[in-house]
Amino acid sequence: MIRIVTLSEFPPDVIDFVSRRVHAAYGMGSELEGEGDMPRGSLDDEQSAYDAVKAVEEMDDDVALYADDKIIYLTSEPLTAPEGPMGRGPVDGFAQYGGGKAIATAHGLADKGMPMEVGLAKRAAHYIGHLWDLHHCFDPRCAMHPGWSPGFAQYPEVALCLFCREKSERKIKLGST
Amino acid sequence: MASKSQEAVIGDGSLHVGDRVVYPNQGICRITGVSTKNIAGQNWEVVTLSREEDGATVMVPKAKVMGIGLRKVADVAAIDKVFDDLASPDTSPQLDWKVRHRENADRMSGGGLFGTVEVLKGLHALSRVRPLPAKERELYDNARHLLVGEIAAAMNIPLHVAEDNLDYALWPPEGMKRKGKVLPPATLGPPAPAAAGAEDDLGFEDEEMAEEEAAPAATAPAAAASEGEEEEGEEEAATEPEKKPAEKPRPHKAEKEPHKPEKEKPAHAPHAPTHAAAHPHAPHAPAHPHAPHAPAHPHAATRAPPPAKKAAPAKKAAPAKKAAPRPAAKKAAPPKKAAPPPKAKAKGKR
Repeated sequence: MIRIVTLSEFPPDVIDFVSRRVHAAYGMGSELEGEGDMPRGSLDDEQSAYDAVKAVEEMDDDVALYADDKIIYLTSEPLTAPEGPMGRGPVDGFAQYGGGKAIATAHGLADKGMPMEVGLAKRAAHYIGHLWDLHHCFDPRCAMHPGWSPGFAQYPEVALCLFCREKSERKIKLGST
Repeated sequence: MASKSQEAVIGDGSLHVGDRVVYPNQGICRITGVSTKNIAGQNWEVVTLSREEDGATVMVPKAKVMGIGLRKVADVAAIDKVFDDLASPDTSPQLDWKVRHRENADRMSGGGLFGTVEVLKGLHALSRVRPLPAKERELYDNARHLLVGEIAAAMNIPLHVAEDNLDYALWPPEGMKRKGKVLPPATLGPPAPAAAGAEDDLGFEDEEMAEEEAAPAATAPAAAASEGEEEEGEEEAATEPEKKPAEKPRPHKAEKEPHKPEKEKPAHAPHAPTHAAAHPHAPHAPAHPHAPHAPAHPHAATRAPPPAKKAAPAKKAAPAKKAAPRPAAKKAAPPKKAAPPPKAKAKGKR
């Protein structure tokens, strides 16, 4: 089951759209679990964005997770991530690879000229994919394609490529209770 | 039957119990000990490793530790070089699949960090020219998985951050810099310096111009073909050139008509435009309804061309059956027209 927790206010139709698209992409049940708040401790030094890694780790919720459950937190706040070898780049979410929790933001979707529900659904599908150990995909139509690439906005379908879909199905089967 | 010694010398002496090492093709492991196992009446001294990803235990005979390519996790300086390498301009991908396969297999089994980088970079460059066959797609994913794991272990950062950084180098976002130098932002199209004159190795060479003119809906049955077929098709293209003429009179062409002008170019024309049809970046709307997993697989069309060429050499009724309903959906030609010609052809060849 994919459990959606909102950390910002979203119109119900946006959440409904995200839930349906994520369900279609992974063939798993998907439901709105509840609402929450971004952990204040995850604000970065400049207090301008939330550290996505800290936010997921420090999230205080009581959502029960079973073997094949995944939680996706949705927010509209800007996110950042620890600096890596390439410096800082665009961050639109974070996922614990092979873990149970991920976060995706709707921040910056307007700049890409994408409707919020489509962009958020695609990002949610992307980060849920990481929870199933999927890596980034070179195919711009795949939801696992990096979100900063021009393909993200050019192909608004929320779908996985054949390879990513098969891999996710294998992982889901292995993880099923 | 097993005894452990914590002070044992492992390999050339550079490895110790507790070290994090990279096991070729397996990923990051931790050496948990050295023990003696009695196997089939013989005492074997084995190094026990625990794979960090899933906790799986791996036992390697002590004498073979260096032979299999077990090595320590790369240091930060090596990772820095990796990113220099990844961020450097794309080299032309190896288009000869035999050479590519051999080189990549050697690099992966060698277990070297830079070998893995080369595999990833080479396949990434190739993926921008044409869709990867199933096995290479898997190899690409494995190489990426190993590299992300090692970067994360070496830099002590989460796997996700490591992968994002890896793709900041492969697919630079706007304004991304590497050591003060602005990287050209990623584009969707194939890279400019695609090697000319090597088209025969791409797997599309048997789609001749004449075939194009006579065969409208060739890509339709291809959408339903499997990836395995695609790869086989590639191999056949290299080993069975005598089959090519047999494909010419296929009765499908609707989807390929838009590409006619491009294919009429001289044989040595840059291949990038030719592959636009096969590449995911090409307009794909018409192919979607025919994908095997229509709602969730927008990529069926991506793989269309290579299997198409394979479907024809078989000269069997199967492709014709698949083709029959498609023209109706596309309104390119009535179904009954599409089905009979392959049969007629098959008879003629027999």
